[in-house]
Amino acid sequence: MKTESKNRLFLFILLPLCLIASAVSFNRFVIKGDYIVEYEGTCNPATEECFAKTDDTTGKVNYYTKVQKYAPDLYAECGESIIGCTYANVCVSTDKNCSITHCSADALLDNESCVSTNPVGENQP
Amino acid sequence: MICPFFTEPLYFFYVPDLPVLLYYSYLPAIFTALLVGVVVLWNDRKSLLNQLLFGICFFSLMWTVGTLIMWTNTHSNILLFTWSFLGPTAGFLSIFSIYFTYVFLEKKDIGLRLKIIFTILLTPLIIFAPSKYTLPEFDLTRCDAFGFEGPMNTLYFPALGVLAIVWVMVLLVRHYRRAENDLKRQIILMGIGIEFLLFSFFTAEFFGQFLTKIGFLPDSQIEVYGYFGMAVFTIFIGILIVRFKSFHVNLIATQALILALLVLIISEIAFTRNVTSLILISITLLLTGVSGFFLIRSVKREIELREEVEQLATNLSNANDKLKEFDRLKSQFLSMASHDLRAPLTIIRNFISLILEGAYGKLAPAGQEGLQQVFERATDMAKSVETYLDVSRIEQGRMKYDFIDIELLPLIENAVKAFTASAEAKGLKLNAIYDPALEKAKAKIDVSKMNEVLNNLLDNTIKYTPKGEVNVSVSKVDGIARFQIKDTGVGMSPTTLKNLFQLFSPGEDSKRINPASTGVGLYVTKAHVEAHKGKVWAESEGVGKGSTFIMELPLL
Repeated sequence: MKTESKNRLFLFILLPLCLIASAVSFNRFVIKGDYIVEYEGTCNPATEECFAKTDDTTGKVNYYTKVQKYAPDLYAECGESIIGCTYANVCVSTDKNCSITHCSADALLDNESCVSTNPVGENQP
Repeated sequence: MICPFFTEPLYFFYVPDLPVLLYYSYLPAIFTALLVGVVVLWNDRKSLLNQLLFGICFFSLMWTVGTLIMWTNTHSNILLFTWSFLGPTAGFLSIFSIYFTYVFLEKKDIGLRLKIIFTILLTPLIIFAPSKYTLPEFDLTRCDAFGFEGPMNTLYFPALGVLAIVWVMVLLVRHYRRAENDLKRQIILMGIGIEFLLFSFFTAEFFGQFLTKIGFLPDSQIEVYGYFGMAVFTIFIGILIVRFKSFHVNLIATQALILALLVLIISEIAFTRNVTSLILISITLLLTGVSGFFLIRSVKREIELREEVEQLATNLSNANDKLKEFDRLKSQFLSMASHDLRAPLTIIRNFISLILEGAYGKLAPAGQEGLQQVFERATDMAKSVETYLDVSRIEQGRMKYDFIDIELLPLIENAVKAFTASAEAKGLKLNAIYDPALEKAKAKIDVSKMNEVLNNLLDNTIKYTPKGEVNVSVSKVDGIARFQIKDTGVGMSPTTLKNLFQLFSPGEDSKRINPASTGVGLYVTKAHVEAHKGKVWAESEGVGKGSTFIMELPLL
C-alpha cells in the first residue's frame, strides 16, 4: 500500500530554514571568514614563557605561545598561510581581536609544560 | 586560512597519509546511500516511505561527505562551512529515522502534532548551526574545531541520536508484538537495519570524540567504523526490496546493473590519460547512459503490465471463488426448498386422489373436473420439484445411479408407445423406426433415469411441435445406439441451440409455448446421459424449421 504525505510542514518550514542557514553559514565562514583562529605561535624559551610539547614520533620539543586572532585580520596580514608570516606571532594595533597567551600554570593542558628562564609546570619544584 | 601542519588533499578528498580504513568505510557508505536513495525515489516519487528513505540516504550521504571533507581538507573556511552542516544533518537523520519507522509500521503519515514536535526539535539545530554559539573558533594547529564546539554539537544532536534510537526501538517492539508472520520478518529486517545505522553513527561519533577528549584514545579514528552502518542498513533495505517488494521497487536488478556499468565506465575515465581513449570512453558512457535509461523504462513498463495482469488474475480468482460460493448456496437453497415442497405436495396429491376416487363421497361433475385440474397441476409441480432435487443432487455430486445390463430397445419402444396417445391427441403423427441390429443389444442403464431422459426428450418434442409429425429412429452405429427424434416444430435459433442444455436456459419461445418450462429438464437429461457415458445434443436449421434431438449411448 502506498502512503502519501498529508501535509508539507517540513517542506514549508524546515527547507526555507535550511536554505537560510546555509546562506548565512556560507556568508559567515566562506565570504567573511567571521571567526577566531587559534594556533601555536613561535616562542623563544630563552626570553619568554613558552608552552612545550614533545613530539612522540620524532622526540623533538616544540616551544610555542597560543595565539588567537580574528581570521580576516590574519588573512589580511599573512594571506592563506601563516608559515613564515611574522605578523602571525604578534598583535598589531589594527587587530580587532587578538591575544597571545604565554605559558602559565592556569593555561596548561595535558601533555603540555612550561619552559622559560623562569620555568613553571613540570620544571617547577 | 590553511592549516600549516597538514598535507593538502589530492582530488579534494585524497590524502595519502590518512588511514586506508577511512576510505574503506566512507566510500561504500557514500556509494550505497547514493544507490539506494536514487533507486528508491526513482521508482516511486510520490510514496512518502520512499521519500523518507531517500531523506535518510541523503542525510547519511551529506554527513559522510561532510566528515570526509573534515578529515581531508585543510582550508579553515571550507572546514567550518562544512562543519556547520553536521549538527542539522545528524538531527535530520535522527528525526527522519523515527518518521520513516513510523510510516513503515503504520502505513500512514504521522499526525500534525508529531510533525510540529519534530519541527521544534530540529529548528534550534538549524538556527544555531552557523552562529558563534556553535562554531566560534578554529584551531589551525590541529586543523579542527572540536575544542570550541557549542552545546548544539556537543550535547543536543547526540541527544537527538539517543532519542531516535530509543523511539525507534519502542515503535518496533510495540508493532512487532501484534504483527503477523510476514510483517514480523519485515519489522525485524528494517529494525536491525535502522537501529544499526543510528547506533553506529551516533555511538561511534560520540565515543570517538568523548574517549579522545578524556585521553583514553589518541585520536577519534574510531568514528570511522560508524560509517559501516550505512552499508549494513542498505543491505537490509535491499533484502526488504527483493524479498518483500517493499518501497514499490521492482527494477532493482536492471537499475543496479546500469548504475554499476556507469560507475565502471566513469572509473575508467578517472584513470585514462590518453585523449583518444577519453573521447571513446566518454561516448561509451553517453551511449550506456541513454540506452540504460530506455532499457529501464521498457523493463518498468513490462513489469507494470505484468503486475496489472497479476492483479486482474487475482481479481478474477476472487470473483470465481465468490461465484462458486454463490453456486453452492444456490444448490443448497434449491435442495432445501425442494425438500420442503415435496412432502406437502405428496399429501395434497394423495388426498385429491382419494377424493377423486370417491373415498369421501361422490362429487358433482363440475367439482370432479375442477379437482382433476388441481390434481394434474399438483402432479406437474411434484415433477418440477423432483427435477429441482435432481439438479441439486447433480450439482452437489450426490446423484446416485443404479446401472444394470439391460436391452435398450424395449425401453425406448415403451417410452414411444407411452407418448403415442398424447401426440395423437395433439394431432401429431408419431412415427418410429427401430434398427433390427439393435435387437438383443444390451447397454449399462439406470432404468429409472433413462426413462426420465426419454420422457423429457419426447415430451419436449411433442410440446414444441404444434403441427406435423415427430419421427423417432433408433439405429446402431459402431457399437453405439443412436436415438434420434426429428420434428416439424418451432425450431431453434443458433443462440438457443448453444445454451439449450444449460441450467435455467429455456429457449426463446419456450415460455410462450410452455409456461411451465423452467429450463432445467434438458440440463438434467444431459447430466443423466453423460452419467451413462453417452452424448446428447440438438440440431436445428433455424426458427420454424423443426429440430432434431440426438442421443448416443454405448452398447455392451
